[in-house]
This record gives sequence, C-alpha cells and structure tokens, in this order.
Amino acid sequence: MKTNHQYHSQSPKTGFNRYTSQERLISTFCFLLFALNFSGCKKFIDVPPPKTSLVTADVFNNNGSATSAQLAIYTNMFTNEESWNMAQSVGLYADELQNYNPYVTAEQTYTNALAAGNSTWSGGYGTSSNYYSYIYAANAVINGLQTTPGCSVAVKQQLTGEAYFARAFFHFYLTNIFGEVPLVLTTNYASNSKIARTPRLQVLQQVVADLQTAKGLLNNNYVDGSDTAVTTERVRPTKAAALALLARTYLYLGDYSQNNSYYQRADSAASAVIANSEYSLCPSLNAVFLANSTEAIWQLQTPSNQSWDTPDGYGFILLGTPSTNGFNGSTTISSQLLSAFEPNDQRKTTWIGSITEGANTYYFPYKYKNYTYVGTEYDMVLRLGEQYLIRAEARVREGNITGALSDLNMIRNRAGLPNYAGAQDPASLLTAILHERQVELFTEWGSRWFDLERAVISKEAVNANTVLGSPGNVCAYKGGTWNSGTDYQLLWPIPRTDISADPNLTQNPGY
Amino acid sequence: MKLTTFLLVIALVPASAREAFSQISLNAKHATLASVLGSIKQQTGYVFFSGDIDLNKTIVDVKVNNVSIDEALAVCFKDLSLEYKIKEKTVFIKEKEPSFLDNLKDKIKAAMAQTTVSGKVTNELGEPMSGVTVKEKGTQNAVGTDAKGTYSLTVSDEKAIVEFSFIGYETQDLKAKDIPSGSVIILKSAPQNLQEVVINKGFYSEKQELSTGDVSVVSAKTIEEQPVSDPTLALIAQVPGLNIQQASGIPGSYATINIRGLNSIANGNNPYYVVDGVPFSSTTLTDYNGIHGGAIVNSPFNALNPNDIESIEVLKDADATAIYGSKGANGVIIITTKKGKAGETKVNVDLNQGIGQVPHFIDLLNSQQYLQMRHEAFANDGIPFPSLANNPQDNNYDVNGEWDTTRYTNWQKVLIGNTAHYTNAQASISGGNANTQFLIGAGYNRATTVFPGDFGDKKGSLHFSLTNTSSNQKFKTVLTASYVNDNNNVPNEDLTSSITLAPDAPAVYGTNGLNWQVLNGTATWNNPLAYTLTSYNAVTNNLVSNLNLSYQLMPGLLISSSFGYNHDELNQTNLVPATAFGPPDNMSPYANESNFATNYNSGWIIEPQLSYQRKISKGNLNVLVGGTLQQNTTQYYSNTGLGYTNPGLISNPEAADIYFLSNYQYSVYRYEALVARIGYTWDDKYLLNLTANRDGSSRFGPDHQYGNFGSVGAGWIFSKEKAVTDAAPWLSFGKLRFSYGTTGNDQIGDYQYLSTYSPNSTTYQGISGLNPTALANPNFSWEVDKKLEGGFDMGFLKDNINVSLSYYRNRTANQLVGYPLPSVTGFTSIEYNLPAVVQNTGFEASIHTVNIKSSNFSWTTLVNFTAPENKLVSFPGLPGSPYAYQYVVGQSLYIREAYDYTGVNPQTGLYTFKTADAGGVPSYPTDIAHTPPLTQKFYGGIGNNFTYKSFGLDIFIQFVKQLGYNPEYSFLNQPGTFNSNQLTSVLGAWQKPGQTASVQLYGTESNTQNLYSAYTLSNAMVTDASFIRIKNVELYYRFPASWQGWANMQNARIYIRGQNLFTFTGYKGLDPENAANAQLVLPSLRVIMLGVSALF
Repeated sequence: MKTNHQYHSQSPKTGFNRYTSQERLISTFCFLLFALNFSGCKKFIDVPPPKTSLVTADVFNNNGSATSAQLAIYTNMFTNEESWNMAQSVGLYADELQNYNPYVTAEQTYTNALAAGNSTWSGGYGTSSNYYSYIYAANAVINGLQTTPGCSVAVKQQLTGEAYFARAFFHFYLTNIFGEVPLVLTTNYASNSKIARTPRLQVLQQVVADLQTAKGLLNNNYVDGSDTAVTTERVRPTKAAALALLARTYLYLGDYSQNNSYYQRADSAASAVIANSEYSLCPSLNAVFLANSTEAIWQLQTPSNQSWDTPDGYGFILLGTPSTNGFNGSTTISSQLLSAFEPNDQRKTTWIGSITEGANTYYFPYKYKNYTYVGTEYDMVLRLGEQYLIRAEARVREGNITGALSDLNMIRNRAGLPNYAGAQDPASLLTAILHERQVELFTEWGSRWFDLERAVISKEAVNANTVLGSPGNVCAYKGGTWNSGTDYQLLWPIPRTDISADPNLTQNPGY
Repeated sequence: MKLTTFLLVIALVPASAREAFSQISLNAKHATLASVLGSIKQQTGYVFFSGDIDLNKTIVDVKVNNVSIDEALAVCFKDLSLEYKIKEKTVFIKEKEPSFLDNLKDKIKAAMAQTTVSGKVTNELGEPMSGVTVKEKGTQNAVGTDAKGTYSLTVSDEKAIVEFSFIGYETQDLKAKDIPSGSVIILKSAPQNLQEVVINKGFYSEKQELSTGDVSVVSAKTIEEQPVSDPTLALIAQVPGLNIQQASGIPGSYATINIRGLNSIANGNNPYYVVDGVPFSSTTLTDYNGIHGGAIVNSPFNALNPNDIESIEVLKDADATAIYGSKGANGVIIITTKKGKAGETKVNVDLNQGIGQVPHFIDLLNSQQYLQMRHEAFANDGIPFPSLANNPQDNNYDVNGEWDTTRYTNWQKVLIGNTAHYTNAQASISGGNANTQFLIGAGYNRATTVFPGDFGDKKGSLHFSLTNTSSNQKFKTVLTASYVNDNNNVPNEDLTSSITLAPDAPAVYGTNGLNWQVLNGTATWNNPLAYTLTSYNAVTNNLVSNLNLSYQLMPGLLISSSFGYNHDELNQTNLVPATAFGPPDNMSPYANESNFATNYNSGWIIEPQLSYQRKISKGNLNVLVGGTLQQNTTQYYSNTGLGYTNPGLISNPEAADIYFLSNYQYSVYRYEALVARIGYTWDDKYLLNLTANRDGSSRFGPDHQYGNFGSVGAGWIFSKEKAVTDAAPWLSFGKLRFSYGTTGNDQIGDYQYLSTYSPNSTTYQGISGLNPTALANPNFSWEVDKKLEGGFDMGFLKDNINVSLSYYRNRTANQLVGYPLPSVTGFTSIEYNLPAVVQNTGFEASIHTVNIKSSNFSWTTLVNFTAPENKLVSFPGLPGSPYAYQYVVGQSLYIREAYDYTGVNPQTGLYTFKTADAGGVPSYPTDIAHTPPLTQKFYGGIGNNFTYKSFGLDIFIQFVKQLGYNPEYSFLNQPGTFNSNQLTSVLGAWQKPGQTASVQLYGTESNTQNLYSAYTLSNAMVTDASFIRIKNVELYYRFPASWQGWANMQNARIYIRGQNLFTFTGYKGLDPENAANAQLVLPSLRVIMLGVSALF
C-alpha cells in the first residue's frame, strides 16, 4: 500500500507544530486541573462535617438539638430494655424468678456464679448495656450546656436538671450492683480511662448531691418536647422525681452508713412526694402500670416504631411453655415468690399471669398486660407506692410506729388485705415492710435484690445471706452454692475487659 | 509544588511563540528529523509545516555550531528526498518533486522489474491468519492479509525481501522470487518472552525487563479458563504473595484477599484496587443493618465480569506501590479491561454450561450411633433417661419420645447435597483501523446453589472501549465503560451450619407445608427450611467508566489526564413472613417483617499528569509528575415494616402497621495526591527509579491530613555485561533488583477524628434523639509501612526457562487501631496510633519453563511459590494493653489464645489441661497459652500446559501447607448434648476407667460442658490443614482449519473445564481451604463445564 504524500501547505489541522483549537482546549483544561490541584487547594480534603451527625459543639448551641441529646437517654433506656433486663437478671440472681434459659450468662446469673475470670461471662457495667454510656451522655449535656451559650435559660435549666438526675440514677444502680465503682463526672476519656473506684458511701453521697442539684433546677410540672410547656405525659423527670429518688437514696444511705439522720431525710423527701396532689395510689391494681397513671412519678414513654408497649410486657408474658431459646419468655415467677403472697392478696391474681400447657401451669409477671403494641402502657421507673413503703421503713427507724403502720396499711389495703396485725417491735415491722416490698415491687428494676442486699449491711434477720444461703437455701434450690462466709456474691464482678483496659481498676474480692 | 510549577512552564512555553535566535547549534547523531527541527524551533522560534510526512521516520546526523537558519537547514536536508521553503518564520517541508527525466527513468525501470507476490498465511495449525503485515522490507510498501489469510503485494523486483509479521509470532523474511504464487506461508508462534511483557504500574507502564519493582501479571487466558463469576477468585494460587480465602462456596460470597500478610493489627489489610484507572471499593456494599440474618456477604468484585478483563497486575513492593503512596501499604491490584485491536471487525463468542457439587462430605453419626451417644451421656451424668411422660417440660425431644427415633436424615444430603447449575454466555465485537479501535462485549452468567429451592445469582454485563489516535499520533483518547447488573437471591444464611441437626430430627415437611413438630403449642425445633418461605433479594448495579486523554506536546513530552467515575448501587429486600417461624412466634402480626435497603457508593477521580522522556547519550530519562483528586460518597438507607396483618402483603410497605426509616448513613471521603517519579536507565543495563508522593486524606484531623511517602528502586541487568555472557552463554537474561520505600494506610472510617452525635431512628415526645457516637481524637495519623525487597529475575537457554526470586520485608508502624477503652468512658474504643511494629517477611519464587516445543507438541510449566512469615516486632506497653493476652512480641499475629491441652484423664475420662492451680477447668487469663500461627507455612501453584496438534490440556494444581482449626471446633457442643450431631471421630470416647481415649466421656451436664468449652479454646483445636488440590483443568479441541475456513471461523474450540476436581488432604473437615474459618461453611464446589468458543 503506497502512501501518497500530499503537500498541505495551508492545512493547520495536520501542522507539525500547531495545536487545533480542540487540543488547545484540552491542554488548557489539563493545566487548570494541575493548578487547581496543587496551587491553592488545601481546602479540597477538608470535607464538610458529616451530614448524618452533628459535631458535639453544634449540638448544645440550640434548644432543639440539646433537647434531642437529653431525650436520647430515655429512648435508649427504653430500646435497650433496661427495666426488663434489670428486672430479669437481678430477679434471677435473687429469689423472684425461675430460669429456663440454658445460655451460660443466664445460668451463671441464676446460680449466683458469675465467673469474672471466665471468658464466657460477658457482663459489663449494667445488666445489658453499659450504664456508663448514659453517664457519658448526661455529662456531655451538663458540660455542653455550660460551655455553649446558644440555649435559652429555661431550657438550659430543665435539661441540666435532667442530666444531673440521669447521672445520679445510673450511679445509684451501678454502686448497688457492683459496690465500689468509678465515679465519672466528666467527659474526659483520657482521665476516665485511668479512673479508680470510689467507695460506695461516697458514690451515694454524690448521687444525693446530684439529685439536690437536679431538684433545684427541674420543673414542678411535666414538660413536653419544648422543655417548658406543661403536659400530662409523665415521661420526663420533675422535681418530684428527684425527690422520689432522693428518698430512696437516703434510705439506702441510712442502712449503709448506719447514720440515722438519713432516715429522717428519707422521711421528709418521701413525704414531699406523697403530699403532692399530683400523685395518688390507683384504687385499681389494673391501672397502676397504665400510661400516665396517677401513681406514676416517672415513666418511660414508648418511643415511635415499637412492636410492643414495654419490653417488660413482651419479655415476661408467656404464650406457651417457657422458651429455652434466648431470654424472652424464658422465666417464670419462682415458687418462693409465689408462696410469699398472703391469702386473698389481689396482687397475686392481678399482677401474676399464668398459662397451662399440658399438665403444667406456668406463672409469669403480669404487671404489664400488653404483649405487643397497644399504646396504653408505659414503662414505670418511679411510682408512689414505693414512696409509702420508703416512708414506712424510715418511720420505723425514727420510732414513729403509728406513722409506719399507716403507710404500710395504705399499700396492704389497696391490695385487698386487712391492716397489718403482727408484732409491732421495730425488727418485726422491718421484716413486715421487707415482705410487703417483696410482693408489691416484684420484678420492678431489681428492687427485691437491693432490699436483700442492704438488709445484710443493716444486719436484719431476713437478708440476702439468710434467703439465698441457709436457712432459705434459695441458691442451693437454684442449683448454686451461696457463700455466706465471705458474702462476696453480694456484689457482681467488675467487668474483666475494663480491668484489662484500665490499670487502676481492681476486682471485687472473691472473684 | 515548586517543581511542578517549573515543569509546567517548561512544558507550556513551546506552545507560545518566542523570540528567535539567529545563531543555531545542533549536535545530533542518528536523531529523528522531528527532534532536530524541534531543537531548531526551540532555538529560533521558526515553526515547521510538514503535511503528512512523518518526520519521526527520517533519521539524520547533524553537527553545526552557531550557524544561520539557512545553513542549518541546508545541512539537515542534505541527502534527504525532502525539500523546504522558508516563508517569514515558517518553514514548509514537502517531498522533492522528481524531474521529468527521473520519472521516466524510474517508470521504465519499475515496469521491467516489478513483480507481484501472492498467497496465504496460516498459523502452525493451518488456520488462516488475518491482519498479518506483508511488507517489502525497507519500504513503506505493505498490505495486510484478509479474513481468509490471503494477500497480494507488488514489489519493486524479485530480489526484494518480503517480510511477514504479526504480534506474538516470529517474523519471516523471504525473497520475492522464493514465494511461488498461491503458496502458504506458515508463521510460528514466538516463544513467550516474559521480559517483553509491558506492565501497568498505574501512572505509567514499562517493560517487565526494565522494571525495578515486583509486579505479577495474570492474563485474560488464566482468568477466562476458570468457571468463576468473581474475577478475584481466578487469582487463587496464581500469584506469589497473594493470599485469597473465600468465605464460602456460595455464589457471590466474599473473599478475604491480602498481599504479603497482615500488616495492620486492627484496620484494613485490603489491597488497593484500581479498575481502568478508577479506584474500586473492596469493602462490600452489603450492609446488613436493618436486614436480618446475613451470614453471607456479597463480594463487591461480583460486580465485575471476568471475561471483560484483559489483565490483572499485582503490585507488591515499595517500588511498584509507592506511586500510590498512602493507599499502597497493602499492595495494589490493577484490573485492566479489554480494548479493541486494529483489523477487520471480529465477533468473539464463548458459551458454556456446567454443574457444581459439594466435592466432599464429612462423616457424621447415623441415628443409631447418635442415640447410643445420647444414652451413654445420660448414663455418665447419672441423670434418669428423659421421658415425655415423666417430665413433659424437658426439651430432650430427640430421645424422650417426641421425635421419632427410628427416623434417619442425612442432613448433608438434604441441605447441601443438590447440584448447582451454571450458564455463561459471552460475546464481543471488536475491530477498527490504525486510528480508531473499538470493543463491545456483553455477558450473561447464571449460577444456582446446592441448597434446596430455586435460588441463585444472575449477572448481565456490558463493556465497551473506544480508542482513538489522531493521524499525527499526538492526541490519544481512550474511553472505557463497564456496566454490570447482578441479581442475587441466594438465601441470607448458609444452610451448612444446620448439618449438625440430630439425625432423628423431624421431617422437614408435614401435611401443611413446613413441619414444626409442635408440642403444647410450641415448636420443638427450628426447621432448617424455614428460609424457603423468606425472600431475600440483592440487586447490584455497577458502572465503572474512564476517559483518558493524552497529548504529545513535543517529542518526549506528554500531557494527559484520566477522568474516572464509578457508581455501585445495591438494593436489598428481605421479606420474613411469620410463617417462617414456628409457633408461638408466628402468632404475632409483628413477626411479619420486611426490610428494604438501598445502598450506593459513588466516586470520581481525576488524575492529570505530565511525563517527559529523553535519551541522554546511552541513558534514558523518564520524568513524571502527576496528581490525584478523588472523592467518594457512600449512602445507605434502610426501611423496616412491621405488623403486617397478612403475610401476603409483606412486600407492600403500605400494609405495614409500623413502617420506619431504620438506618441512614452518608459519608464523604476525599483524597488528593501529588506524585513525582524519575526513572533512569543507562544503556538498558543499569536501572534507577525514584518515586515521591505527598498525600492528603480527609480521614485525618486538620493537622494530620498529609503524609509523605517515597521509594528507591534499582536494577542491574547483568546479562548485558559482556563478561557475564562470555562466562555463561546459557544465561539469556539476568537482572538483580532492589527496592526500598514507604507507603501508608488510611483504611479507617470517615470522620473518626470528630466528636459527633447521631440521631435515633425513633422519637421520644415526638423528638428524634441524638446519641454521642464518637469520641474525638484529632491526633491520629497515617499508618506507615516500610517495604524492602531484593530479587533476581533470570532467563536461561534462550529464555526457555525463566526464574524470578524475591525476598521481602515489610514493617508497619504507627498502627491505626480502634484502641479499646474501659467502658467507664462510655465508649468501647477510640481511633488511635498504636506504637506497635508488625513485620511480614517472605520468599517468593516463580518459574516458567518451555519444556518441549515442536510443531505438533508443546509443553510449558509455570510454578509459583510463597513462604510468608509474620511477626509482631515490638509493642511498647503490651502487657497493660487490651491486647495483652492476644499477642506476644516476637510471634505471629496469627497465633490464638488457647489453653494448653494435656489429654483425657484415663481414670475420670475428662479433658485435662495445664493449669496454675491443680487440675480442673483452666481459668482465663492465668492459664492462657498460645497456639502456633494459624496460617500458611507456604503455598503456591503448579500449572502445566500441553498442546498436541489440535488438542490442548491445561492443569493447574494448588498446594498449601498450613495449620487450621480442627473441624470439631465448628460443632461447639459437647458430644452427648441435645440436637447436636457429631463427627464419627467421637466414637472413640472414653467409657471406662483405665481406658486411653482422645475424646472425653459423653455428657449433657455443665461440669463436662465447661471442660468441653475449655477444650474448644485449647491448642487441641489446631490441626494440620495442608492440601494439594487439582484446582483447574481445561481440555480443548480446536476444530480443523478446513472446517473453520468453511464456516468462516477462527480459533473455534470446544472445551471441558473442571475446578476443584480433587483434593488430597488429611484434613477431616468439609474444606481445608476454609480451615482458618471456625464455622461450618459451604465448601468450594467441584465444578465441571462444557463450552464452545469461536471468533468470526
């Protein structure tokens, strides 16, 4: 193929040394890219803040997002099923529930044999999720509202109050489960990751201090999402909620410090709540756990998009034989609890459900009646009934027997029982109140276990050692061994992963 | 930065006119006229017009000093058949017009001497070859052969030499008079010269011979030969240093790929992937947040069609990867798709179909053995044998009378014993002329599973490429695009995990569909076929496109830019009706659940570059400066619907009682880089390559975004030294190479340096909550990898034997980890640079030999071998760190925490361990010892290719020497427990005092369970998992040339292919390849395919 070389003197297209306009364009473009890339473009890799999340400083500069940060604590408490997890785990650890779940965690909890050294025990600071993540969130609200000026005064006051309340709430449960725990009051991870444990009394005293601060900041009324407008929804902590938790903390402090002045403070805090006309005992036991019942001091609202009203209803109600496949529906009311009810106690028939499969009848907690979503029940956190029992106990310690009897009988009468007719010496009365707490507050946030535990400290005749060890032998009944000698099982082990990550943490003795 | 600017000025100045200099100096020996005139232009500003004349083809010798333009041009054009004319500052060049007399003389002479040669060209098999260049040597006089291989060329006289040439074949020269008319010329295929292979190193390409780096190339042939739909799986055992482990044999499942071991303790060990210049995300899009189940993860590479791939280059050492700077720490894998070739338009068709089966089942107990084990377990525990009548709440349904104990089901056969079917059809059209070439390819691929039910993976793909070069050869455009649609409805759980069901478990089907074997309103088992009622579907759409423009500004100076865009989208639907659960779970309307998720990953990349090449005396200088701007955006949505009153409406979100957005994620990643490379070769003998890279990544805090990386590569081709060739004439090629350099790693999540809050998907008091999601650590920065390599590349006996040996040492410091925090901080970890150093060393070899090569028979062998070693070199503060028990300084990262197993006590029949306190259950961490590394000691592959006349046979064998998990590990329940079948190896369990046994007594109780758990966490769980596997076999037959000519076909073949045909191993599990995986997963299937391919 011969190429015929033509002479193109005028054609710029094939010129040796000239660019076509198109080629010029491309060269220029390439050059611009170079220039863009390397001359002044340090900004290119500075990406804008993520649009799916907010940078911390921006969160607290605005009423709306600051409120969101605080409300997330309640949403998470609900979705992490804290109330049901606490009721089930601690209920199994005490004498309230019988276990059908073969999983190691459930077995170890049930037989009071939490093995800190064994990798199969996965417990952390809490019964399912980490309680310190709530404390971090609360500290972040306190810190954020203090350092950024964007929120209105009223909003800042209410939210700060709620954050102090939440911090107190979780420290309260942590110290009651684990004994000495780190007291975390800042968001600084560098110092918190090297934090040591704080003695139990000091933790409880900080809980009191936080609740006092909260009490001074919180509204008297329930507020809605604006943090200022009043609502009938009892789903945000109020001054009364702070008082109610204070009453309980004072009672515990009285037992743990052997300092009687705390009982008097418990009395007055509980009295302030009882005197509040907002609250009254529900005449019907069926109404107690309904949303916004007159007895509710603080409830967790059912957040949007849930398949059930409360995790307690879904987790405890049995539709057939107890499950051997997971935690849901894997527990029944223990025979010890079932036999603790006096004849004609309406609570046994109203708050305990049963199902018969074949020849067997299974009993389960039935305070919450809804298995799936109906929209009529909220998760109860603090209620008036407990305040009467707190005051009754405090009054016995103060020597006010009449007052104590009146409070005790309020609760007995509501359950369809006659007035208390037993011996009226303080020891007998305290035993009677402990018993009343057992049948009134069962499977509510582990109340029973903490009662048994503090009864050991205050050297009551009936306490965790006598119930779980000899003569009660509940632990042996459950298939475990109770060590009354060292009492080490009163406390749960500090999470192993934390001990390896924080050189200043120590393990509870016995583990 | 300064350097770039300087080079830009140099590059762009010639484009503008400059002051002329009257004095010209030239000194060029054997230079092209183009370069000489270019030099004149540079010195004077005179410009030249040459029309169609290619000045690069004309060679001149010029030496002048300080002369005028007229003198200089006169010297240049002396003896040339060109003439020129100067008009102002422009010089016009044209061919000399011959005088009338000259013309006449030539014509007479030509007419007397001219002769025509004609005939046909075929290959050794007699197949006609089209596109062969037939040329009169020393002239431009040439033609190409047509589709039938015929040609006709008129040459000047019969003494003229005619040259027949074709890429990949030996060129033949014949005198015109020796070519009888109509004769057949047979071209012999040239021995494959590995050193001639041009390798793609990303920003630039070079001949393997002159490379100082370590790059392995896998060709289209190797990829196409394998029946895989994920191209990365075709690389298994093919490349030294490349370790690939497929998660399971399910179509589309994910493979873990790493180059030269684990560099990073906690973060990404993924190589960096580039498809046609566009970064390809190796992290799977499949995000199961909100989509239930999800044992199976889709491989992102399933969105590529293996048949579209021309080559895959694996870049391993510092020299090869440094140009990728921060992203090259774990090596780079460059995937290049096919391009069109000049020639007549051709259609290539390839069709195949086949079947796949689980190649090997494990030995499990039958019903009789199983029940005997259960009886013995209860007897050992002293527990009364369960009976439904005496103890109705007991859940020992397999023995208490609830399940029919006379039943026997071979669950392996039921669940994974079916036959998978494969269909694969590929077609492409390609062609073009000297300036423009194109290729259009389309493919369809379908694979079903070995599970019961109609499930599978379907893939359709389209690929095209267009290449254009301007007629002056200066401006080049390459456009490529690939689009793949993959539709996967493989169940989102692996049924292999259910093969341990009790052999007397109930029948899967009852009278009304699935049988739940209900007792008192509760199902007594989880029916493994429940998934057949659920519906999972994942549709992937993937587009990868790239435009590359380049322009030659002046000889040797090239400016170019690549513009890439990719969009990978995944739509998932998961429908779970309540009927997929046994009673009572199926009673709640909230058990009807559906999930819908949309997920995309989209990015663009612009890579401008300027390269300059210049011969200086005997040296050849290559300079390159380039840059990268890249952005990547990912987004994820998932919606959940709950509470459908009727399962029939489950795919309609409107029918849901509750429907909500359950997860939304969005992130942006940006990256920029500045690259400079200087390559210098002296006399094609001494090689030097310097690379520097400055990178910025948006993943780091404001003061830590940039990192600097660089490398040095050097080589010496000693076979070009006369002393060497004299002493060792059998040595055809020999190169010594060395490289050292640093690369980085930023494979962490986006925005990790910020302290952020993210919203809840639910509301409280109508307000969506905000959760703290990350602690801020603005101080972490690049993980740095230092790579050292030395190697020998040698060819013996005319390159019939090629050997390449490498030793490498990679050290990674400044490890990026999510450092575990105590939970009191409220978080579990923080992104952190750990001062630990991890070292990977290894020896790699590849050998390629041509054993026999005759006209009828040929035999070639390819061997590759890798012996890797991993070591934690240092870890300050390890004892106090969360890694205290996991790792040991001086040992491999592949070791595992384990108790020290000391056998079965012959008296008690219980497992015993070395413990600090006397006997019993070992405790953590006091009794922790470590296993040897659970990884490969060495691995590789041996390929043999045979051809005999029209037959060809390729056999590829994979071999691995490794430790893995004992198959018992994946059973996890001690022999004797409910509904847990066991390997037949448990039959030798301890029965009476004094008996020596390797298996502890059967039991159901927690005391024996505790010891069994300790056993599964002990070094007894480590076993040899070495194997030799006939990985790929292909036998083909090429149709006789006469048939092909008749049908107008070329290269028509019929073939049979097999994969994973036989495995030789002592390993007792399903598949030794998955032995590092502690779960029961579907093994790689044995696949046999039959196909035909042809070129029209």
